[in-house]
Amino acid sequence: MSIHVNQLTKRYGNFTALDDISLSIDDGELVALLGPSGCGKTTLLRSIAGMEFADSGSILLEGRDMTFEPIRHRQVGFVFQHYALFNHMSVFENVAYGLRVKPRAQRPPEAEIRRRVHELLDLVQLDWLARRFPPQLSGGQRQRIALARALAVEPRYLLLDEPFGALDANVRKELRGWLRRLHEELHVTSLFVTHDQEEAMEVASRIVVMNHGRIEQLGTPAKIYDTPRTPFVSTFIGNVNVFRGCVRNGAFHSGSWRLPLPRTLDTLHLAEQNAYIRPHDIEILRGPAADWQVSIRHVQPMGSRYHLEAVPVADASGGPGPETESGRITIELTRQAFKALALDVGHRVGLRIHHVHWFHGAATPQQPIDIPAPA
Amino acid sequence: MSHRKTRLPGFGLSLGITVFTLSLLVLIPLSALVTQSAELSLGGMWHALADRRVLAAFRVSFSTAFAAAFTNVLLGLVVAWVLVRYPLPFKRSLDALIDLPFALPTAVAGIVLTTLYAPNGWLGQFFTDWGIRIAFTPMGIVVALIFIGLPFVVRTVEPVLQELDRQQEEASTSLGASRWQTFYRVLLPPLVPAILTGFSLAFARGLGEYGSVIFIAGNMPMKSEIVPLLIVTKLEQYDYAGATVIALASLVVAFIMLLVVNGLQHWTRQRTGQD
Amino acid sequence: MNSTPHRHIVARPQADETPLVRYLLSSLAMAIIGLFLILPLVAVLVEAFRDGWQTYMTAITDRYTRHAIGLTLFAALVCVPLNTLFGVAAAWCIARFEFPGRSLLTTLIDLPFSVSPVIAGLVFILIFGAQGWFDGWFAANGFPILFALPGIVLATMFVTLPFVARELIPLMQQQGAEQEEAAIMLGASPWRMLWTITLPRIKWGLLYGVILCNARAMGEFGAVSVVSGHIRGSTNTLPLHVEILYNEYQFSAAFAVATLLAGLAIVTLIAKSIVEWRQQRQWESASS
Ligand SMILES: Nc1ncnc2c1ncn2[C@@H]1O[C@H](COP(=O)(O)OP(=O)(O)OP(=O)(O)O)[C@@H](O)[C@H]1O
Ligand SMILES: [Mg+2]
Repeated sequence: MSIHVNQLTKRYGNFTALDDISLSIDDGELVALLGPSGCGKTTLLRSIAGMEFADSGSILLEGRDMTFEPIRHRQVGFVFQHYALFNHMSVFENVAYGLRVKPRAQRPPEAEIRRRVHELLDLVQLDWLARRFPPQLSGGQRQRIALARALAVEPRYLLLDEPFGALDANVRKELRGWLRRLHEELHVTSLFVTHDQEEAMEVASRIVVMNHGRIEQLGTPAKIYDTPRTPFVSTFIGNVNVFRGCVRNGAFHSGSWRLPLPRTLDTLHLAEQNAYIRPHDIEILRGPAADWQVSIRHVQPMGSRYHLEAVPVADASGGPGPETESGRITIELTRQAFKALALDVGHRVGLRIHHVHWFHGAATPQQPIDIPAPA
Repeated sequence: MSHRKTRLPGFGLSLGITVFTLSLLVLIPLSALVTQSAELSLGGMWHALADRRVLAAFRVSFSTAFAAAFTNVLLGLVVAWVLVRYPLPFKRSLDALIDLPFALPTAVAGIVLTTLYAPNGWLGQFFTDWGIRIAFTPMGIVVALIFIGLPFVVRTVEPVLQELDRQQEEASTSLGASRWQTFYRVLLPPLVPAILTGFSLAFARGLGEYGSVIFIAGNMPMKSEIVPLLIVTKLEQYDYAGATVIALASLVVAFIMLLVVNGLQHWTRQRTGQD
Repeated sequence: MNSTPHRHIVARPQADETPLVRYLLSSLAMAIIGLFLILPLVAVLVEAFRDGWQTYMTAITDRYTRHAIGLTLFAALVCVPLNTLFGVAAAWCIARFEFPGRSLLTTLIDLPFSVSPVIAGLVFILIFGAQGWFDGWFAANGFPILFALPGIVLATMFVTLPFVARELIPLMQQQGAEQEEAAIMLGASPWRMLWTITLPRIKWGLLYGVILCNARAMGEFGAVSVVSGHIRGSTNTLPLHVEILYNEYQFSAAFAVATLLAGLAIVTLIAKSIVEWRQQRQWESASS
């Protein structure tokens, strides 16, 4: 039950919605398709389902080219962004629809249909709503009914278009975990669209990051977070501080700040280079020991973690400090670390950077660079 | 809603049925109009059109349709205003009744209006006292066309009036504008496109209207003979060429009028910042 | 003919006009409605019974009247289903697909509304009449079209063609294609999708269009009058029959027959209001 997308391209006039997309999903995987609004996620999903013709490229389901197969034979379950429940049918009839429209020879008997529908409604924990109509349901309930409806025909593939897009944060969280468990139970090859990175990281075994109709990166959540392949991925997945500067004489220079690099990079020269530093790769040191001095401007408790915003302070030589894209540096601490340091707004502290990554043609490192501790 | 190119079924079949029916029923018949008049030379066409009786018919048709559409705007505005804003007894029924001219066959409208407005009719007698004749004069045509066109303005203005933001009026009043100033400075501008639409629909309908007019018009050549009637008369005299040329000319003129009105509408929409 | 079936009237008691202005405007509106809409209806009834019940019954049970009723019903019975089929097909391809010429097609569908009914009749004379394209070939071969039933049906279809399509196109565009796509992906055949999803969702809009189409089909005068030849007992529809009676100075009989058509109009208005109301309810429940 694998999905292979080969060099798929789709244009609307001279706008390219999908640009040479290639993608493989293995049997039983749960993959997230992540990207900003308008990047072509829905278009890709609809192409796989057969609802959209591509301009070039092909789609293989289980190794078979499906381009000219009727949609009905693809055995794809599709959950729409806005559910697309049949408003004129009861919840029960919605779920039963796929079974009732089977050709007579394959159609299960009425008793079997009933049993299956109730089983599915139990699965989504909504059996008690069977006689209601979709407009009488809440968003989260509609969402689960849409899923039950798609599952009723026992599809080999499940495509979900922003399944939790229209729901509030709590319901999203709940349904997320629920989807994950459901997938563990049923093991349908699934691809789901989201533009919420947290959701993708939490649910999927692999993530496809898209931007402007292209695939930017494909990999496990950990891999995508730790070793982003492009600046876009780096900024889109998780928070990151972007420092403008250059690399020379074995160090990264940003404004008047200097970050020594490992010995192995001594010979590297990059005239213009942004360095990407994750907020949790920055350590805070009390006292004047560190080179990088900042003043804390804002403290935001986020539950188990603390987000700090700091601005550079002119250093001893009177230089202007580093140049960041936002003019501020975001730092993330654990609760313990924060308490231990007893920080508050207005404090002047030193920073120590643990990891940095950058993107520059062949010089792009596969792993973030470990910054050596100062001598 | 977005128009995605989908692979839903039935495109070929539905497009086939649509194009086939349209061709058979509309395109081919209307092109017959063009080819048949093409058989006449330009001079012949000119001769057929420049006839005094034909010109008079066009004048009658246009002036009555215009007068009626204009009256419809005034009456329609009042009716729509009252139906949307004021409490009225039997409002639902009255509102439903507005569509009567669409639902009542035109022949019935024709004979009943004639009976009402004839010199000794229910209403006509009062006018007779004043020395005014309505039925069997161009005035009668206007009355019939007002009846036919009344729903157009009401039905185009009504929804816009409902959507109007009450706060704008209140703002205007709070700034010291009188009720009348508020009406023509704040309320009227957004209504203008709808009024123009209603006017053009009523006008176009009035130009082509036949059934309700012929009874009340008197149909005196040069005085109260409308273009559609003239076409029928020519047909009855087996003057197919003449009928065709007049029909084509009236189509072209109606088409130009619609273009003008559409342009005007576009212009007002832009000026009032709608659309 | 209005394309806004979701109208709803909200009383707005907080109107700012002075009571006098409000009173005057209300009276004016009532006067307009009374004078132009109610009075004609009353007049039809009064005139129909002017010569008594007996004359009325004679007029509407007359042989020719009965024939005209039959003919009118028959024409509507042929036109309305055909135009319904056309309307659904046209709305399907225009609201569900993108193709070059789509907006042209939409304009063409509306064309019959901007053509005088007389011209609608004329074009069929140009095609099927003597001197026409077929130069009376059909008539010569025993299948007359003009001054016969087929001509009446053709002319009626021409003038009523846009009604159903006009209602359905905006409705289906606004509904979007997702539910139909969902049905197909769940394995429904096109035919199943049409009957279980598309038609149930558009039924009120469809009914609305059909009601208007039917009213016009039964009441059409100009176009039918041109192609029918007014042959009494043969090609006379009800509206034409009214005209003939009226022109023969049988006023009471003419109005008697006219009451049938006025009744049709009233039934149409009531049906239309009911459908509007149902449609609005469906609309509200769907968007809640
Ligand atoms: N029928 C169409 N004609 C022209 N452009 C289209 C059409 N359909 C989609 N597009 C464009 O293709 C791009 C991709 O659209 P798509 O719906 O796949 O985005 P998406 O990633 O799903 O966005 P979102 O997260 O907002 O749902 C968008 O820029 C959109 O404007
Ligand atoms: Mg999308």
